[in-house]
Amino acid sequence: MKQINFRAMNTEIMVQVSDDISHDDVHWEDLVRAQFYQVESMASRFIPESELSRWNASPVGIQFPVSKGMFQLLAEAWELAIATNFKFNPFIGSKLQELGYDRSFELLESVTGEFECIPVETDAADSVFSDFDALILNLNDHTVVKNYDAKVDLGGIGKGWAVDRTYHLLKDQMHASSGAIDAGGDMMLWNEQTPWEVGIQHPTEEDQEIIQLWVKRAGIATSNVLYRRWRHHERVQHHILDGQTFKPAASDIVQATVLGPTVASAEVASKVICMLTADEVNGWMASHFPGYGYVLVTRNGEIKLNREVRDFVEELLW
Amino acid sequence: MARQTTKWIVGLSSIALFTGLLYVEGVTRDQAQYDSMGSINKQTMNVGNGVDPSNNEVQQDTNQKDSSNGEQQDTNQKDSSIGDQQSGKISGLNGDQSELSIPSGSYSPTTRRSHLRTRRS
Repeated sequence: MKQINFRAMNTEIMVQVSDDISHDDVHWEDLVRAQFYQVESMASRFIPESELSRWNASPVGIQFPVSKGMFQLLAEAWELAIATNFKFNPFIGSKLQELGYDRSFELLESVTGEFECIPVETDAADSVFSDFDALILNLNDHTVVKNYDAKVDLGGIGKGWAVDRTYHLLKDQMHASSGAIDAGGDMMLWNEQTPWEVGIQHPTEEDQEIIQLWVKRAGIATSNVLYRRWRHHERVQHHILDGQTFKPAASDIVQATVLGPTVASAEVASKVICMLTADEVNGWMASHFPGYGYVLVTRNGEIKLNREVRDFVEELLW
Repeated sequence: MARQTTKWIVGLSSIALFTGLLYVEGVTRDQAQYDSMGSINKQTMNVGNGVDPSNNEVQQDTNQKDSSNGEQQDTNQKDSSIGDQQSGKISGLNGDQSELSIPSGSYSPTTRRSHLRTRRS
């Protein structure tokens, strides 16, 4: 196996590929790094000159030309937003900024330790976002139009999308028969011979694993409401906002890991699971992400996993 | 003459006694042999008649062995359960239930690091 490690998108990236990768005169390592750097420079809302930041700064209602890559990422994000009835909603960027998540997470005053419930303000007048026309994508000229006055955040899905693109580069274009692309714990794995061993990290204890999986092929993503927490105006906040209400998710679930065909979709599904109650997840996943596997952890430490997990793993152990 | 007669009587008596003794011994021996043979036959019969019981007993023994096999099976089950613990529990997802719950305390977080590890994000 060949391996490279590098840092991009504020996370450690590790890529392993089988020796049968074909790369002619091109260094596969350079192409892989370029994939991540390109997505970061394109879709980060923390880089002022990024394509996303420039679009976020543009007025509502205008046709904004974007690159092919940005168009594809926005199209996939919007498709997943619609698939989740906007519980995943890219338009939460302004709300995250308002709550203090206005810079890279490493620069925030993070809050760790005990499970601290985040009170959710309930307002009967809350409207539920359901605006299908908030984003218009024009495939003919690769322009996008936002009809909703809010900034777009593509943080989580952008990283997953970068992993998926790298997977297609390595497997479909460079014919690597096996490989692993690990972007800070969100990963794509493929190996028809020997499954990859993956440990699911404990929700609070960074050095512990709660389950080990042996995976032959899957996109895997994890969301956690206890990790990315910060203090803003004396209140603890976290990054998982319900895209329908733009309020922090209030759930008895503290962590969800999803196994699916792509990392981007697994990332979105794992995020939405953290907005549901544990009793709702099985039915919701069956209707919105059929065929996806999940492993969730509740606030009282119970683990739940659905039957679809077996379609992605050779074995599991706890 | 009387003395001569007495000698003959004593002699004949002795012979008769000896012969009687021999006879008795012979009968006893034969009887003993008979008894012995009967006993053997009896044993044979017992064996013959006892085929079923003894076989039953053997069968019972076998059953007992089966029981011990059961113990073996138990052992195997224990082995299986150990195997479950060691090689995973994916079979837990093969039932009709669409979701498997593992209560807190039923699993043991480990610090052993897998080749790859998800991260809180």
